[in-house]
Amino acid sequence: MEYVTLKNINKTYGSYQASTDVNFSIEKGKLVALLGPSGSGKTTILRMIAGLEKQDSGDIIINGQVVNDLPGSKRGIGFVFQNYALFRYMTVAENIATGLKIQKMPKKQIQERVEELLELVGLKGLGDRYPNQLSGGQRQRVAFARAIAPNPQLLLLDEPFAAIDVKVRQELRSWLREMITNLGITSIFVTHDQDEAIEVSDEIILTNRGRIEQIGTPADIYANPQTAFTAQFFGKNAVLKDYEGLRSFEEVPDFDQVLIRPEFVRIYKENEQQQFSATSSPGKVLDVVFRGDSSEITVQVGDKIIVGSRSMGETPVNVGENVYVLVYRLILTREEQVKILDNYVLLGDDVFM
Amino acid sequence: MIPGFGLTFGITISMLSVIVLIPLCSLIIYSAKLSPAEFWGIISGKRVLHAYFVSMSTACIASLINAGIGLIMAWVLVRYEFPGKKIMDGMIELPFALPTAVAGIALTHLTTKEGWIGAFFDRFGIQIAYTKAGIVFALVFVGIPFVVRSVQPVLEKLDGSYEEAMEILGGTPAYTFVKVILPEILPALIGGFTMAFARCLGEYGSVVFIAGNKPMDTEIAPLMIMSKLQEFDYEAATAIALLMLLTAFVILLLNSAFQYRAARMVK
Repeated sequence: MEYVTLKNINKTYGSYQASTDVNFSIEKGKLVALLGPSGSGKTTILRMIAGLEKQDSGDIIINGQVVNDLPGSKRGIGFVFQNYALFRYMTVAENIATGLKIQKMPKKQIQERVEELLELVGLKGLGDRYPNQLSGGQRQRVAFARAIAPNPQLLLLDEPFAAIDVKVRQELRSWLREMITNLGITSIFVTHDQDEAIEVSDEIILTNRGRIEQIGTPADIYANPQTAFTAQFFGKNAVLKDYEGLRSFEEVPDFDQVLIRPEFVRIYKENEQQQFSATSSPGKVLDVVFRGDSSEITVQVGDKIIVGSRSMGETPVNVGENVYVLVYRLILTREEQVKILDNYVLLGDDVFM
Repeated sequence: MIPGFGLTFGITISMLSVIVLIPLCSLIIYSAKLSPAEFWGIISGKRVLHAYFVSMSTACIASLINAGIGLIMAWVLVRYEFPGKKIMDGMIELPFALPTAVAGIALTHLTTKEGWIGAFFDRFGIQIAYTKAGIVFALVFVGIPFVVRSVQPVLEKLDGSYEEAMEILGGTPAYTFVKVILPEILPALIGGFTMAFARCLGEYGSVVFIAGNKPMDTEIAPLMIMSKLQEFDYEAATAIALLMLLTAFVILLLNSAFQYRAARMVK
């Protein structure tokens, strides 16, 4: 069932077009990422759903009701701000209780609900602290608790992990994902980090220049980009002008660029046994960069530079070594369009991801 | 420690001594020429006590008014865009720049029965010039920049997301102001109020003209000091001044204590 729907949304700030013809629907209970580079209009979309900005045209529908003229407080939403916007002169408990107090919930019930939420977010006993006495991760948990306290049906999060240091971020991602899944609350979060979107969300809405580029599951959007922008936004692509010399690909007459993701490249040492020797091309290792669990290997094949990787378990390759490069998939772009070319020898084999 | 502490701290202490501590010490030394009984006799004189009362009460009322108006002015200057905003912003400091005597004469002229403002209030039987209301009027003029300039930067820094968070939680603008904005700007507001108050306590130039200086009615403490000086009674003048100094010191101390507490809360 669709819980949130945006229909033909347009929004301008002066002469700046922040949203152009935005259309999408989100199913109930889904955790959706609004992903895009900065200035792509993702935050504007989130703020329009929250009622913090008003669209110039188009409809926003939440739970079957057109909410265009409804203030944010009447839309049944919770909002977690990028900087958390915790009220600094209120204790953690007072912060969480704010929405309930405004709704004139009886004192005793508020107290119970606050205790329940503190326990839920793992901050039991910290209700009397002030926000400045908490760590970044704890503050985010308070912001989350404050947003869900009035039992909203839709949770909106603006760059929820941007202000947190890398180490805690990872932990918080899984925490938030688990929390939201357990609560079953429909959630939309804004991020510019593709890894974050892929890891946390059920579905990604990719935005670019105020438009929606592609909507899909992380796996789908990653493996099957439908626009040139999507193809370039995800992954660490090697960009080539053509794919001459790479074997076993169908010929396509007209395209601008060829993108090759490291995930679709396999590099073999000369002496390694391999099934598909006929489809791989010889190359020379230009550079090896240690990445912890794997090595990133840059190889020259003919006049092309291709990047692939080898895991730590495999025999290491050295710079200058001759190797064989097997490419599974190419992504060709032509203006906005994309064509995916699979290595026809390997078609049918479950080779990637 | 950052290098240069010795030199800069030395300069700080020297300057503080030359412009603040030494003059203040001379006040104490001067008044120390009096015996405690004489000292008490001077500062508890009926006329002097009344002058203290006038100074304190008018300064307090004027600073409260300033806190209200100053907050609104700062709000308007920060939150709205309108033509002439820069000019208006620049005008805030004019009371600092104007010689206070000039301001005093101008304000008196305005508030007598013939003046624009005075004539208006005269219709309701209210007299401003030569009354305590006149003193308050002059002090409001003198103190307003203190409040505006303390509150303004804090309002500018105040992140809009606090208000948006309240908006989504369903808070009315009034509720948001009381619960979120006011606590944020309260330290600055109290700081501005205190500075305006301390300044008003000692204000002389702009007040003497508008006050009329009627004994036991509109005489202010600085005027009592001036009149003692004109009688070459330096000891009495310094005795009165010393008490004012103590008052100002206590007020400023209370303010720093409050600021310290507020800063600790949000550090």
